[in-house]
Amino acid sequence: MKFTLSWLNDHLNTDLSLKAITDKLTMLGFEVEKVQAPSKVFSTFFVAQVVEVMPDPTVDQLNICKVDIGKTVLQVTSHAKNTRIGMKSIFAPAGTYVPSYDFRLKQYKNYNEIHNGMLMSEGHLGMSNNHDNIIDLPKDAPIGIDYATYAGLDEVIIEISVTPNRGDCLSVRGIARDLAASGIGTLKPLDTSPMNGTFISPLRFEIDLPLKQTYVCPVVIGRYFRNVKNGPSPFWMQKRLRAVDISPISALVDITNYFMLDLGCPIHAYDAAKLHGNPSIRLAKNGEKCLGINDKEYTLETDMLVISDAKGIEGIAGIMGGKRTSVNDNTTCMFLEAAIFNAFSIASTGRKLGILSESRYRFERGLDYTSPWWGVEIVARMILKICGGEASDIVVNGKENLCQRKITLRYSRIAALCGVDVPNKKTDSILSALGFEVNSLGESISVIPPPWRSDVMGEAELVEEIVRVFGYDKIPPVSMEHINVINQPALTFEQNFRRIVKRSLVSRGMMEAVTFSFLPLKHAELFGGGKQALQIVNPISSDLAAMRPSILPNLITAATRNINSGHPDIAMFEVGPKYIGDQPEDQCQEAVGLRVGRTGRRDWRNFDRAVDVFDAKADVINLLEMIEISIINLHLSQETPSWYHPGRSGCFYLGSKIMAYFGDLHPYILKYFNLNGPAVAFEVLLDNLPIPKHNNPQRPLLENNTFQSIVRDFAFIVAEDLPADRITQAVGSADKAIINSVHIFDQYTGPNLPQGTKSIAVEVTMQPRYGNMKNEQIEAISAKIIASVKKNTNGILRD
Amino acid sequence: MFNIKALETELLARIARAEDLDSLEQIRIFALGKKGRITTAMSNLAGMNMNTRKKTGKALNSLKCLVKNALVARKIALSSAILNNRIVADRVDISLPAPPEMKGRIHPITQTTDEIVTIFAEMGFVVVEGPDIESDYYNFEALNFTPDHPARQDQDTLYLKPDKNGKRKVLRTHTSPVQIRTMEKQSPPIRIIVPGRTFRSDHDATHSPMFHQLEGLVVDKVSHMGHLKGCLIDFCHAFFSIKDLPLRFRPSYFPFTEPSAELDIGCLRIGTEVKIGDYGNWLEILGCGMVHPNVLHNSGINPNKYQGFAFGIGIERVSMLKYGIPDLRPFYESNLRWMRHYGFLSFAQPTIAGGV
Repeated sequence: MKFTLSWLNDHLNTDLSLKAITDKLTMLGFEVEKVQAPSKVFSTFFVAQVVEVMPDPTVDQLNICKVDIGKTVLQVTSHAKNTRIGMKSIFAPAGTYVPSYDFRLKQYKNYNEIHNGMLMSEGHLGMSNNHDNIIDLPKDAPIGIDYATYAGLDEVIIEISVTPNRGDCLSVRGIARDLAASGIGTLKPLDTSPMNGTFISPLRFEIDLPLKQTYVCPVVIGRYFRNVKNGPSPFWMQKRLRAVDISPISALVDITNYFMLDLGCPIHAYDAAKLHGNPSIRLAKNGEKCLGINDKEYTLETDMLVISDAKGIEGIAGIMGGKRTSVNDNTTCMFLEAAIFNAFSIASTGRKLGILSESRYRFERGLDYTSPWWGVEIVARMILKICGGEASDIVVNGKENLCQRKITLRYSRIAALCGVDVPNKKTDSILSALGFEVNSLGESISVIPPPWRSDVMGEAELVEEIVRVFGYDKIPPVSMEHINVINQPALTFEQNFRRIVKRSLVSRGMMEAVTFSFLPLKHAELFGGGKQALQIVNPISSDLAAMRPSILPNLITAATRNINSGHPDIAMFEVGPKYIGDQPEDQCQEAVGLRVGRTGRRDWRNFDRAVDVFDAKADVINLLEMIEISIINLHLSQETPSWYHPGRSGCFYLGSKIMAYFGDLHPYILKYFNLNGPAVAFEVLLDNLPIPKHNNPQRPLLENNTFQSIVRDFAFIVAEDLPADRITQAVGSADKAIINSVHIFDQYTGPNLPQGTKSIAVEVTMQPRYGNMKNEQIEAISAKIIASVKKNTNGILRD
Repeated sequence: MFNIKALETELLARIARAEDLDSLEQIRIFALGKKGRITTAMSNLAGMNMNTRKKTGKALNSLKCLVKNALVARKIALSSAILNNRIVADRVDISLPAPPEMKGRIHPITQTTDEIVTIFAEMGFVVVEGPDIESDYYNFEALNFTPDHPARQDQDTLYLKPDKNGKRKVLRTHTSPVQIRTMEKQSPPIRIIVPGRTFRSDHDATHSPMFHQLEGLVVDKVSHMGHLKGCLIDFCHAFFSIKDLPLRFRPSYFPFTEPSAELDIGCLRIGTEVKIGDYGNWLEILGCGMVHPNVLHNSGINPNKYQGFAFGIGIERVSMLKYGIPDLRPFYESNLRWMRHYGFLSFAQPTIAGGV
């Protein structure tokens, strides 16, 4: 909402400074977006009158003119065809900087004639693209005053944002009323008295709505004007409209626009000569069309509220007038419409048609429901003053909304809700100043909101009104009372675990990324997603059209971007949601990592190497060990999703639940994403991980065993396709009580082994519990180990 | 009888001349071995008369002692020379690089969220989460947004494709739906914070289609706007750790709070950079207010018995302010250079004891 300070002062008596006013606006809840100081650019241009025009004897189509600039008469030249004696225009003396052309005018001589400046076109001043004609000002423009003053650019312009509940403050008067209530001035009276018409209107508005939908237009008031003379509106009105970015069109249009801004009362003017019979307010039929005053054709849907006559639709109610019946300079008879339209109906129609007009903006935020009555009076007086002619009596269809709300406010609620003591008297006076009717009931009051405050529904809204005006800054802050000291942690186990996972992965050299929850549909499909229910109807771009079924594609995209900008080695992860459906339980937390390229920069001892599937496996194991899931309890499967290399990836299960996938990315994925070089990934399904039970924080006693542990190496020859961990399991199960750990330290295939076999070497640690082991005991266990491996894997000891 | 003195001179000279531990050992054997000169001489003592034996024995013993000491001394000297040589030979250029390692960093969103959670945890709040894909009911209706409410237009909602019944889910435009979900399940007193992803159909220099919010909700019988102010002022002081941080509560509007406010923080803008402190300018950092009675009612809580407040903090906004990060969009671009520069060390976990 934009207005000038002088406009505000039309409604508000105050002697406070601009700063005091804008500070108060802020503290009343109107964020001040901009305060524009008077423009200095145009103060060097002057209103001048052309007093003499002579064709230049030497140059075709050039005139030599004399202009009166008040103090003196100067000689200038002009190419413009519209230059004529007596006209008033804008004169820029030599030395003036012309901003839109970015040059400074020079004094120059032409055939002994001195030229002292220039007459300006709208193009010169950047007001339009008209560079051919010089500006033709109204006759009453005062000679010699500077253009900034003349055009209203000398004014302070204030721009505030008005919250959606305050439709009443989409008017200068509404803002003045709030300021007055806050005690920084008084509200000037507004003459809303009825003005008698001199004839009976030949037209009236019909309301043609189904019984159940009469509420969308409870009232419409018409008023007929005849013998009016439309033309430019008065200078002061044009100046104000221009200052708030509304182009003056003609007096009749400007007057309606002016009162919409001034009083928040959107009124529409029809050229009565173009109306065919009584205009009727009705619902559109599907497919009906309306040509708006903006020359755009709109196709309407059922239930959109329109105004139509015998020749068809002539306007979209409360949103935009129609071209066919709009007023123009030839209009002499005019029919005025002041109505109440249902806010939700207007909002819905406006949204569907994509029209955002000043009128819609006000209707959908709620009008003063008495505004049609006083609106047609105030506007009529202004029309007669500016355009002459006569006004009819008003023709009312519908009735005033009489269902006034009565709200009971307990004084005690103010302190209870806001923690501040507002004296009862102060409460009453704030409400009264805001236009509320207040009746005392002792410890409480009965309050009737004014007709412009449809947003105030209950006690809470009244409390806000009082405290807002009283001042939020007067509420003393109170620190929260401490209710517990860690008897309940702030984070659940899962939440805390996510935190630990992130910091652990960072310690492993991985960079934490946060990527969008959405991605291109094609990426979703490649990673098992892309179903209808997870596609966005109105995405920002097609790259963000589907919800991600995995974090991985986003990491791959990010890796590619980084590689292309010169970072070939990537270790990156994200912990966050993936979406497998649109229900709350379909959102799953996962920790996903991607390593591309080498394990580090090239190293002088060749410690760097290409990343491989075992790096991803290490990441997963490390992560699972953080909730004390021992790798011994996991089992491994080769079944992995399609985006992994089927021969170089794995899946960890705990019982029947999948804990994680890891592996090389499928070459097809690498190709699709244009990713070169080795790339491995892991996905840990955090929601599947078991929550450790920590009912008792106490640990079992340490078995402090001092007996010497024994380490023995074994090598077994097994079938080449046997998973190596089967040997580990076979060895471990040979004597669980004594065998403490089994570690594979070598794998060998080669010519000295039988075809189709390999050798796996393990280091076995035995820890006796009841006494140091004797040779015979060690031999006995070794024999058990060999037997177990033979039995479980058909492996034989390698000599 | 041989000349002990001559032997002494010879042995000591040879010990002094020994160049390495091997030749020193040879000398030891020559002198003190089983058949060594001193050993032999000592065994010859038996055939001597008492007087000579006594005299010679004494001389031999002192010679033995002398030689042993000389051997030990020479051995120490030789060993340390050898060690010195080895040390010289073992020398490496320690200016060569250590083995390469990848370096990770925690994203500013994580760090900032952890900081905020830590501060509110101290005030007795617990962390609750909710789904990113919401129904219209939880995202709007239950929060007192009627259909076609003008405030809905300010929210630029992203919608998912409608189902068979024409119902369409939304990507939550704020974390506030979790207020409703929590109040439906839990009875007061309630003190929760809700960090999470939020979505709007908005993409320019200062808006991202996805961003993060942290919702706060307090419902009990006594908490009023003074507590709201106190809670958020305490938070800001702890979070920004700036003395005399200027803060301003300004009336505003949200359909789900009444009265509503926005909290501004004192700042100074220099180009794209924003400094916080007492500079006379203001920047909005969060919205808040007393929970609207309709919202309590919609969630099954009696508004005549209970009241409370809610707030919503833009996590990126406060992160940018605190850490001087000028642009929003790089938060989601996963640019390694940006992450390295603005990211945090893994062990910089914010704690009350260690600071946020």
